[in-house]
Amino acid sequence: MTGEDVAPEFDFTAFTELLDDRTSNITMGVVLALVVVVLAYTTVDLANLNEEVRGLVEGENNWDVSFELQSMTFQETIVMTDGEQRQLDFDVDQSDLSEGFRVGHIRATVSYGETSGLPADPADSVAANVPQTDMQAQWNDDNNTLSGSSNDATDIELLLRTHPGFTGQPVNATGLNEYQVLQPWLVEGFGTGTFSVVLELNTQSPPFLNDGDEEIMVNIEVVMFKPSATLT
Amino acid sequence: MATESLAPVAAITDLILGTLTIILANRAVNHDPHKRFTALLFGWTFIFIGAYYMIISVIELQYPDGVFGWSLIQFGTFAPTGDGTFDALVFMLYGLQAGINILTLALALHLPFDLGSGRGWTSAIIGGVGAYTVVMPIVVMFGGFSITVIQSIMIFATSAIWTMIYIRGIVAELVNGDEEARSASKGAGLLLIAFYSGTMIWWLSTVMLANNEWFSGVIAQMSESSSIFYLLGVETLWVSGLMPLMVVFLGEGYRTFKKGASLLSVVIFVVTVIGFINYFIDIAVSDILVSCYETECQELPAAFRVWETLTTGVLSFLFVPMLFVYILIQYRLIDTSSDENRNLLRIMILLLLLIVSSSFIEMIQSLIPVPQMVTASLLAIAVAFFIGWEERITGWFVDESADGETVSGDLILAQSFNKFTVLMSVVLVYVISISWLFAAMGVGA
Repeated sequence: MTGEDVAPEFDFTAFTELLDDRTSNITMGVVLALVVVVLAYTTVDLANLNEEVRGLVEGENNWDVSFELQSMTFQETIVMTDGEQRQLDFDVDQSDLSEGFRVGHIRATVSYGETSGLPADPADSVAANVPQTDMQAQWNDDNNTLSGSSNDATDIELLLRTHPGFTGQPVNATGLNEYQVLQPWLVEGFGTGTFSVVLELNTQSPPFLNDGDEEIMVNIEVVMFKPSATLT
Repeated sequence: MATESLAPVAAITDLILGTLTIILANRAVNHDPHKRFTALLFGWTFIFIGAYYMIISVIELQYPDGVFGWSLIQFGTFAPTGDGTFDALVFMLYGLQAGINILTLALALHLPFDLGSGRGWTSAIIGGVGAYTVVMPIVVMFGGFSITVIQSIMIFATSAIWTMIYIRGIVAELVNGDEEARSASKGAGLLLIAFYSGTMIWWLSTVMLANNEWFSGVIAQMSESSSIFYLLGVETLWVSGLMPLMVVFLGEGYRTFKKGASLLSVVIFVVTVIGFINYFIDIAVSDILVSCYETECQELPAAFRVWETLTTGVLSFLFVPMLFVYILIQYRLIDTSSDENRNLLRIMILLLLLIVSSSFIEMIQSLIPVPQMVTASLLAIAVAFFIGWEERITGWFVDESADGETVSGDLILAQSFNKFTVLMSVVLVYVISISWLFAAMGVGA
């Protein structure tokens, strides 16, 4: 066996043959040049996106959420007789709300005076309560005042919180972006429906005189809010 | 609408095909040694892909609520969960992925023809595959997972080799009039589709940057900022699919205009159209893709899942194994001359066709409410067709084309076949063992 018969350790003749055609090489050269262009602009785009996304993810996450407030009022004046119980219904419709506003809470004020004109006639006794209706609200919130009474003609203040977490005061929040921070404040449906107030009157008369009725005024204030968030 | 996963079907199909291919390659002692070795490479690629899909199936079955995406492995976005079994399964996927990558490169150096030769060539290939599959999984596990994108360089190199072979073949055929050169371009084109169709179908999204928009959602969920090299690796992977698609599409377009359509041209046109549609689907769901950091994470619509299953799923899980078998047989990588081998081949083809058609029918049934009686009848028709036409179907796979002559290479020592089989078996056990071990030790947590 001569030295020429021994196969070399490595022989890349086939590989060099693959590259020995000018037309094919030019074509592949053009393809690779285009690949470099595509790689360059796609990588730069992804790098920019990466910077933007990381800025959002790792950036300042503390936000101040403040509320622009609006209110809508209903007023009703009724005359009740002694021992009478009456329910007043107030409908809050979604279409009553301004664009972007949600119902935060509903406040009811029941007021009355002694109107009989009789001498030494003491103030009547009025009881008011807010029964649970089909309205979506925070019916079990500890800060609600759903019932009250008065026997000295002072106003009865009732409060129903409707939107979760809303107190009317600005709050702090953490989140990736404004959208996520505002999400809890953009839930629709709370505070719309029927809000009812049930009133009961017990008159107080001076001896030998009869005070059988009373005029009672009910003011309903529907407090609405529109949230906005700013980075702190 | 829930869609059935095709991963278990692909796992079974690939594992059976891999086993049969390895058996056929090992016992064809009189067959061309270069072709035998290439068939072995193919067989082990099947086994690794099959094992990969099997683990995906196990994860889908055991952890149905877990979020498990392709990017987790391909782009290394995984973060250990602390669940030892889950982490071990994902570690295995990284090991198997490394094995698939190096086996694909080895295949590119051997098919359609041997790019190297010499006394040390095959040993160098075997040694290279062994060293890579031992070292790379450890590097990925201890290097922080995202380092896996470094493999994009190799994926791109493999794509570039086959693309160059395709260009060389198509230029020789259409410009120089060398009809025999078609075998090389056809082989390279089919191999490119078989291995890169998963990224090819996002070609327009790559060019129009929609893939980046999708990936920005992935970035948002990563614990730290990514380096420019990592991002370059991500893009290299997309371009590895874009480059061959554009080349093969233009080449086959011109060839179809000149000579008429072929299997390769039809397949590449279908893949191109899917990629075209995918871009507009990307646009349609772009708000959802970026929802995780712009708003809040939203689920993709059911229709998207259906489309993904019918395109990516069918292409990767059902069509690719068929393409592999077609290449194996068409290029005579396995000896089909003896009766014994031909019977095994028939079993292989029929099994493949039946598994694919029955899964396809089942999948259709999971997507649209077709009564079971109808699908059972359709399956019976398919079975009858396959049995009745078995001879003709096998003949179509094994037609006497000149493609087999294209595959040429060096002589290989007989003991190399056994060495390679033993090596890959050891590698498989090694990948499973170190995955369990390091997951149990909490590596990466």
